Amino acid sequence: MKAASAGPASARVRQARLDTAADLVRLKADALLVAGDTFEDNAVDRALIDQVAAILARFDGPVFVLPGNHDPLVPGSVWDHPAWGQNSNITVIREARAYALNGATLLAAPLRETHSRLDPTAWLETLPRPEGLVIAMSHGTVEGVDPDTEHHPIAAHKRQGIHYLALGHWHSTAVYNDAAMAYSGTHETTKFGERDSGNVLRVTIGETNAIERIPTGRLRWESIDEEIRHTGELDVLRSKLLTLPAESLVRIGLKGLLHAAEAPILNHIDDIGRRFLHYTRDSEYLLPADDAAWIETLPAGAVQLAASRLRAAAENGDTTAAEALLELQSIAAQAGVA
Amino acid sequence: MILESVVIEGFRCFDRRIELPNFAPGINILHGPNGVGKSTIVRALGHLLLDAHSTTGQAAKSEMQPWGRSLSPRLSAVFTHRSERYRAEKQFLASPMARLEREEKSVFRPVADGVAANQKLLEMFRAAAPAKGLAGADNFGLLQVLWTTQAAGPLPAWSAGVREVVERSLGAAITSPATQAIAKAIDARWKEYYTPKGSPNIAWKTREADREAAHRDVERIRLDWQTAEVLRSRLANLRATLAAETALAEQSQAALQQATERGQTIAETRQRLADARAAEATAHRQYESVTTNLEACRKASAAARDRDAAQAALAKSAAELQAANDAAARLATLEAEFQQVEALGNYAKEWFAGANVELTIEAETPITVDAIEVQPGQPLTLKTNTIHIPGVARITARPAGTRDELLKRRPEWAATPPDIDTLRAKYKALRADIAATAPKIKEALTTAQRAQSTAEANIRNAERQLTQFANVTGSIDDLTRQQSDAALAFTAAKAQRENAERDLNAAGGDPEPARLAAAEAFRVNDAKLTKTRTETAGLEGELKATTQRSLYSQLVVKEESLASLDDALTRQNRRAKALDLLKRSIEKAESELAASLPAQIATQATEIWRRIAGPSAAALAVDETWRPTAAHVPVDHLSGGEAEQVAFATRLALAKELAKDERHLAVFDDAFLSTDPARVQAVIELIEEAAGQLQILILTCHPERYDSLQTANRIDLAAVRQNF
Repeated sequence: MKAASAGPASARVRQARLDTAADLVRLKADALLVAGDTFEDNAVDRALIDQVAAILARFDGPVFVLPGNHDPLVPGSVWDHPAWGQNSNITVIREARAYALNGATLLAAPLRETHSRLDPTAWLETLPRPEGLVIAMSHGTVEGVDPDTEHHPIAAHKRQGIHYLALGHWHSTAVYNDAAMAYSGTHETTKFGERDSGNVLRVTIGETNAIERIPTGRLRWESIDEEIRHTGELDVLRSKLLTLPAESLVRIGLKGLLHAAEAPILNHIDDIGRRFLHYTRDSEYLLPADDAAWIETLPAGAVQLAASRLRAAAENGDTTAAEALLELQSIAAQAGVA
Repeated sequence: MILESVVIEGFRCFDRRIELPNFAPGINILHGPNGVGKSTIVRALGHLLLDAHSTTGQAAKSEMQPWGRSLSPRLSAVFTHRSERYRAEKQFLASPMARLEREEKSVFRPVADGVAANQKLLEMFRAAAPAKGLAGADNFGLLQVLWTTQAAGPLPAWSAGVREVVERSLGAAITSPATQAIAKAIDARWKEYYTPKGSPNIAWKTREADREAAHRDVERIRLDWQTAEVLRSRLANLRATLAAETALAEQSQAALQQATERGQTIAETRQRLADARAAEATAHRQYESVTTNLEACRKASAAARDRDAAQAALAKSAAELQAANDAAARLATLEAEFQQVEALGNYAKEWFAGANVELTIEAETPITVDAIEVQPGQPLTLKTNTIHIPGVARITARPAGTRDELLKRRPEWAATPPDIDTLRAKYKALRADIAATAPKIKEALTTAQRAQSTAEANIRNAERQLTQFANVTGSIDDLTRQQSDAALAFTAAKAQRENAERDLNAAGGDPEPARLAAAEAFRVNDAKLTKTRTETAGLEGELKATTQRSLYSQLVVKEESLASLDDALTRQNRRAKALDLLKRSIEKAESELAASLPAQIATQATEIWRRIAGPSAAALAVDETWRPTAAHVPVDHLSGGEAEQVAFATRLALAKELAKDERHLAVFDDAFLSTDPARVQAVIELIEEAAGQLQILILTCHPERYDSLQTANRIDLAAVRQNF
């Protein structure tokens, strides 16, 4: 899956997903359910399919893989690759039916299109329930988010006779109906702003289910939005950044006032950022603090005059003027003239 | 520039080397009588600083060479520029050279040679090299302002370049080193993105081009990827179509098969019917034949029976006839016998009668009878009882019933001659019997003859029939069996024919239109199916080839790269805009401040002018060419003295501004010749004040005028010349 917000670290982010998958297949369980969107698209590199199949094959038990809306079961899909037939413990769900699963029954149906307004679990409603433990697996959006969605809407109610419904599509972990159905989410965070991704779920299924949330993500995605009002707040931010591991992707959004004396702290924050896998700082809404004394400290003449005018423009919302003032602040500080 | 020393050799009136080593940083008064070379010193300095060493031509020779001598002027000076000491040295005309040295750790070290040295010197004074030849007033840069030379007149017309230079310089002059440091730092950052002309630089353009290329790559791959998605969708639809068309083709094939089979069935049925009809006909014929044969056989049998019967009848009738004939014969014999007996008596008659035989011969071919030629149609009658036909026959006629013959028949008569009366009576009785029997016998004979005829006819019929049935083989039983078999076969054949007719009727009408329609439908569907299969195979191949290209993975990498480039460019553009805004803001501020300078200059010049001319003197203004006016009167229209003073006031005001940035050398070469002594004194005071900011060099042939300048460095040029 692409990592468009990861800049030059994108390749590392994509590799981390494979590395984490290679780790999590070592977890012990009776079966591994992959609830869709294993691949972001059917036109991915064929070598990647080989890799993923090889990783899943290392799981010590049966693996059930569900075609999702990003990798639907269509002509020329990833599921046509011969790798899926080379590993006896991997079953790709190619038709809507019951599958034997270590004494239990798995009910699953593949998705065959990217968008649909149909509930992919509708076929379960009238299906006679097999004896014993019944598990289902599906891919779509649980209702309530957008009833008119084309993202394969799934009714949110608990289904009679199905002890657990494993869900795919959302990237963050979410549990419904007393653990009767749940999204594990992605095993690695995929972009900034995800609520609770980078997990897998180990579910003990019975008359009542127990869900163990296992964090698996090895990369840390940190998105920080701060409004700086007082001196010292930038230093707090700097201290926070110092606690982050190098395998982090950091995005900082700053607005508010930058006091001249703290300009070096901002530069230091940028220095710290360069240690991370990926670092961006947006501070177009950060203004030099309204201390007239600072402009007074600038060399008299054109610089002071220009600074005053830029300040006035920045206060009127001109972000370019604000950024120009920050540059002037940085240059003046470096030149030792203010 | 603060001048320290000058060395001149081979230049105009200085054919020999002359050195002026000790210029003071303040006021210097270079005095001497006319023609001693005061102005030449300044001219030499001007050529050293502003002219290229390689300048050639008659004008240069005329300007520089001592009259009547072919010398190569050699000029050098030591001066301070922006706190650094420099030594500039040039030789003109023959073996031209130029060198600029800078003092580094108390030693002058070369900085530039030749053209580079020329350029560096020009840059120091913001002067521009002339297109060719010696520098003119337009090329003097700041020196046009700072040096009042005799050649320039009291106030030259500022060249546009001078104004630009002065404005730039004044712009720099009105800013501090700190400002310049900031401006320089801004410029350095600005140049990370822009060319000197303000366009995006190559690095920026390269990044933009990279982004555009990445964008095009993304669009190209995305288009291919979307095409692949369309391919998949088309293939899915095509496969569904293929399944439907396959089913349809199979249906139409089955229909065709069915129609064909029906046709075949009908044809077979027709054939079967034809065969059945033929078989029936054959069986019928066979039956008929057998029946005919049987009939024939029966008829033959009947005929045979008839024949047999007829033969039997014939035999019987023959027997009867024989009997009748016998009877008749006997009767006849008896009759004959009677007759004979009767005739016995007539024996002789008979014999005699017999001797009276008449033969008539009717020859059919020419014959000879008893040597008589008998021709056909010419009968011959002979009375004889014997004839001879040579080679044919001898014919004897005897009356029947001769005694011999009687005796042959009744040999017993030989021994016992019959009683004629008894015989006659017997014969009468017998004749009566015979007469009585004769009709019966005759009837029987007739009947027998008739029966015989009939039997003979029947026999002939039977024989004929038998002849007809000569080929009939087998017995009636066999033929009956055969007939029975043939009847069965015929019945069976008929039943088959009827079955075939029923089947044919049941099969319906002519199957050919339906078969043709089914064939056409199958042809059309099969053609569609073939086309769809071909299209599907083609699409599958295309999709496979597309899949092998891993388009999405390519797209991902390109989109990530594009996103990264976009982000970097966005940030860069934002920063570049900010830096450009900062730079332009400062430049604009500088320009505005510089634009306000003419007024400031005018104010300062007015202040200076009023110190010379009195407080009530009209204020000076500076026009757009930076030339002063006094009470709206151009300086060219003032009196000579006032023109000198206004020019001085203006130059001094400008020089003071220039001096804010760097201490400069201001030269006044007999600049106050027309000024009255009182105003000269005022000028001198002003000069003395200005010495705090400027190095002053006054060239005069009236040194006494400057006696009040007690701290001035006085240089007697005539005395100096004498020492060299």
